[in-house]
Amino acid sequence: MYNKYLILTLSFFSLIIILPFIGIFSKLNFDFLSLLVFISNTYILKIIYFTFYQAFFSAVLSCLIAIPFALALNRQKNLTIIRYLVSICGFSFVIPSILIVYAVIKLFGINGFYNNYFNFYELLEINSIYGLKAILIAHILLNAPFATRLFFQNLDNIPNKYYEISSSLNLTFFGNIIKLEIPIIKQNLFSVFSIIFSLCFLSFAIVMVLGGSPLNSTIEVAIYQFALFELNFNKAIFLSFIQIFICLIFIFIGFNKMKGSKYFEINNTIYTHPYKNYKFIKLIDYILILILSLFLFSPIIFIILNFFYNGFIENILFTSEFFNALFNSLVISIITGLIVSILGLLITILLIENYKNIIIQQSLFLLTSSILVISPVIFSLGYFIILGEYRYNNFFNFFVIILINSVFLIPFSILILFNNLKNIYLTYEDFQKAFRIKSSDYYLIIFSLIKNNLLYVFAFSSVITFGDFTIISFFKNQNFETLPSLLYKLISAYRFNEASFVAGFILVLSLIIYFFIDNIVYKLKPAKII
Amino acid sequence: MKKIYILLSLTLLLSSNVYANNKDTLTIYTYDSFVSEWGPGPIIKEIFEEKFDANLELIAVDSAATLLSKIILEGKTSKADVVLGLDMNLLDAANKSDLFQKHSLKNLDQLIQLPIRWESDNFIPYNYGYFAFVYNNKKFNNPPKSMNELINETKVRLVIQDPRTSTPGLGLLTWMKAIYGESAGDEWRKLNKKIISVTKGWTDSYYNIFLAGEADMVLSYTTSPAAHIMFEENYDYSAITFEEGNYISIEFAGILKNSKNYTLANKFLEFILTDDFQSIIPSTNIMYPVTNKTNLPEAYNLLNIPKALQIDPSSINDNKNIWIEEWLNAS
Repeated sequence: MYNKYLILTLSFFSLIIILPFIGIFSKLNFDFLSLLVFISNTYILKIIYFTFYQAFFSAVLSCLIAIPFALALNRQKNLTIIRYLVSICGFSFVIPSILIVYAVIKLFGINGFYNNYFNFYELLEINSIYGLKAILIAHILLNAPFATRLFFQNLDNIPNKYYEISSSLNLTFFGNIIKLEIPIIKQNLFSVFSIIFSLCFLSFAIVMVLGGSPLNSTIEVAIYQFALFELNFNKAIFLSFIQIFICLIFIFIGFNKMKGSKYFEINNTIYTHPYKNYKFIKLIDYILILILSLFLFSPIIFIILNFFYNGFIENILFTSEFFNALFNSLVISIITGLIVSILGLLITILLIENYKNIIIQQSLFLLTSSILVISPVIFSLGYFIILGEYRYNNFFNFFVIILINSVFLIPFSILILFNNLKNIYLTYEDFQKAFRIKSSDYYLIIFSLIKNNLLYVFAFSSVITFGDFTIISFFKNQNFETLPSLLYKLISAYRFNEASFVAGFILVLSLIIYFFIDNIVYKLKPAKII
Repeated sequence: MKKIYILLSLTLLLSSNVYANNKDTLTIYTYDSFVSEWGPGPIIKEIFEEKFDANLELIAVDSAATLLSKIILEGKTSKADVVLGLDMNLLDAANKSDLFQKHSLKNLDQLIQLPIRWESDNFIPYNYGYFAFVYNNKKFNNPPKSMNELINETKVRLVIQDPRTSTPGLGLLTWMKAIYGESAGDEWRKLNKKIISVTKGWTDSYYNIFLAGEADMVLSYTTSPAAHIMFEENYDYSAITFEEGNYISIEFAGILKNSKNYTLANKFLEFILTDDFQSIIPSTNIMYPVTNKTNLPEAYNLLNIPKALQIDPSSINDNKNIWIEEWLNAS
C-alpha cells in the first residue's frame, strides 16, 4: 500500500528539485573556454578559499564556545531557568539573519554597545570589525547556541547510572568531564561541526553586509551576483556545483550520523550532577552561564529592548502596506509550517515503513536531504525562470514561495520526527501485529505520542519562513510583500524609524510563536521529566 | 493519506488572491522604493488612472540595479509595457538589449531641463540627482572639499556600495574614472584604506552602517539630507559637493518592444513630463524633477548643486568589466 505513496513522494521531490534546474539550464550558453578563464581567475579562487576558511573557523569557534556552555548548563540543569535558556538556544538558530546583522553592528560596531562601554576597539587596536571578524561574530551568535542545544541534549542523555559509577570510582571534576562527558559530546561533535560548517558555507545575508571588502565574499554571494546582476548563468551554475560538491561531503557525513539523535527536544531528566553543589564549581558555572548567555543572546535582548524603547510607530502600524505584509507573512509561514509538518510526517512514516529495505529508505532520505546543499538563490532563480509570465500572479507567488520554503525545511522536519517515531513504532510494533491493527489506525493511535514533535516542527518551520528574505526577494511585487521585504523597502524610502519598528516586530512575533510552542511541550511530559 | 494530499492541494488553492479587471491596463516595471506607500507610485497611479481612464499596474521588480537584468531575463515573456527606473550607467546596455522601442514624444529638449544634454530617442528622463558622500555634520568636522582631499588628506571611515550590484556603487566607479582616468586604479588603492565596508546595496550601507554611526561618510546622493529634513526634521546630515564635480545620475523610462499598449505607454511617457508627475518627485523619490524646478520643497534650498560629471554611456558599457577588475585588484 505504501509503495504507491513512496513512488508519489519520490517523484514529487525529484520533480521539484529538477524543475528549477531546467529553468536555469534553459538559459545556459555553455562555453568551455570562458569557463576555463573563469576558473583560473584569482578573485574566484580567493572567494572559494575565503568561503571555506570562514565556514571552518565559524564552526570551530561555535563548537568551542558551545562545549563549556553545554557542560555548565548540564551541571546546573535542575534550575528552572536552564530549560528557558536551552529553549532560547533553539530560537537563535531561527532568527532571521538580517536581524542578526543589524544587532551585530549595533552591539559590536565602533559605535556599538560594547565599544561605548568597554572601549575595546582602542584596547585591542581594532580599526574596524567588518570582514572576517564581523562574519565570525555573527556566525557564532547564530550557531553557538544551536550547537549548545545539541550538546546539551547529548549530555542529558547520559544515564544516571554512569554518574553513579563515576562517583563510586571517585572521578574528579575534570576526570568526570574528560572520561564521561566529553566522549558523549564527541559522539556528535563532527556531525554538529559539519552542519554548522555547511550553514556557514552557504551564508548569504551576513556575508553580504558584514564582509567589508569584495574579497571577503562567499560562493553564495558570488552566485547571486553572477546570476542576478550579470545574468551569467554559466558562472553561477559552475560555482553552484562547486558549492554542492563541498557541502555534500560535509552534509553527508553530518546527516549520516544525525539520524539517531534527539536533537531538537528539550528533555531534561532530573538527577543531580555529582559536582553541582560544589560551591566553587557552582560559582564558576553561574558566571559562565551568565556571561555566555549575555553574549550569545545579546542580539535577541538588544532587538527586543530597542523595539520596546522605540514604542509603536503609528505611521507604519496602521497602514494597509503593513497589514498586507503581515497577512502574507503569516499565511506563508503558517501554511509552510503545516505542509512541512504533514509532509515531514508522511515521509518519516514512509522511511519507517521501509526500514527493512535499506536502499529505498536511503534513497528517499538522501533525496529529501540533498536539497540542503543546493543554493537557495539558484533554486529560487530557477523557479523564477520556470514561472514565466505567471511570476506576477500572486497565486503562483504564494504557491512557489511556500513550496521552496517547505522543500528546504522538510529535511529538518524528518530529523526531528524520525528518531522518535521510529522508537515508538518499533516499541509498539508487536501490539500492532498481535491485535492486527491496520497501519493507518496504528498511526492514529501513536499520533498522540509524537504530537509534541510535530508542534515543534510547525513552530520551527513557521518561524524560519516568517523571517525569510532570500526567497521572497525573487517573487515580491508591489501587491505582494512580506514583513522582511517591507523592512528593506522602508529603509530604501528613508523611513528608518518605521524600519526599526518592523525589524523589532518580526523578532518579537517570531519569539512569541517559537517560545510558546517550544515550551508548551513541557506541560505534556511525564512527571519524571520537567 | 489520500485525504491529506487533497487537503494540501486545497490549502494551496485557497491561499491565492487572483484578480481581474476590464479597463486597459498599462504595466510598468520599476524598483521597489518607487512603488512603496511613501514613494511616488501610489500618487502617480491615482492621477494617471483618473486622467486616462485606464489601470496602471506598477510592479516593483527589485532594486534599480537588477531592473534591467530581470527584464532581459524575462525577454519576450515579460508582461511589462514600460520600464521605469534605469539609470545612465545602464543606458547603453538597455539600448543594446534590443528590448526597447522609440517613443513618440517630440521636442524633448524644450520640455526638459537637465544639467547635461539628453540624446536618447528610446527613453524619457523623469528625475535626476548627483552621487555624493553624505556625513553627519554634528559629528564630522572639516569635510573634504574635493575627491583629491578625501583620498589623500581626510582621515575618515567610509562605507560604499559594490559597483557590481548597486547603482551608486557603479556611480562611484564611473565618478573615479571621470576624474582620474587611467590612474583611477592607483587612487582606488589609496581610497580603499579608508573604506571600512563595501555593501551590496545602498540600504545596507546607509541604514545598517552609516546611520548606526559605524562610518563617518556614506556614498549616497546630494539629495539625501533633504529626506532627513522633510521626514524627521533632522538637519544633522549634509552632502559634499566636490570641486572636481559630482557624477550625475539620471533615471529614465522606456517602452518595451513587446508592449501591447503602445499608445497608452506613450501617453504615460508624456504624463511623466507633466506637473502632476514632476511635482511629487522631490518629496517622494528624493531626486530633482526634470522639468519644473521652481516649486521644490524648502529642504532643497539648503542643498548645494554640484558641477555634473558624466562619462559617455557606451564607454561605460564597453569598459565596465575592465574597470571593475581594476577596482577588485585595488581592493
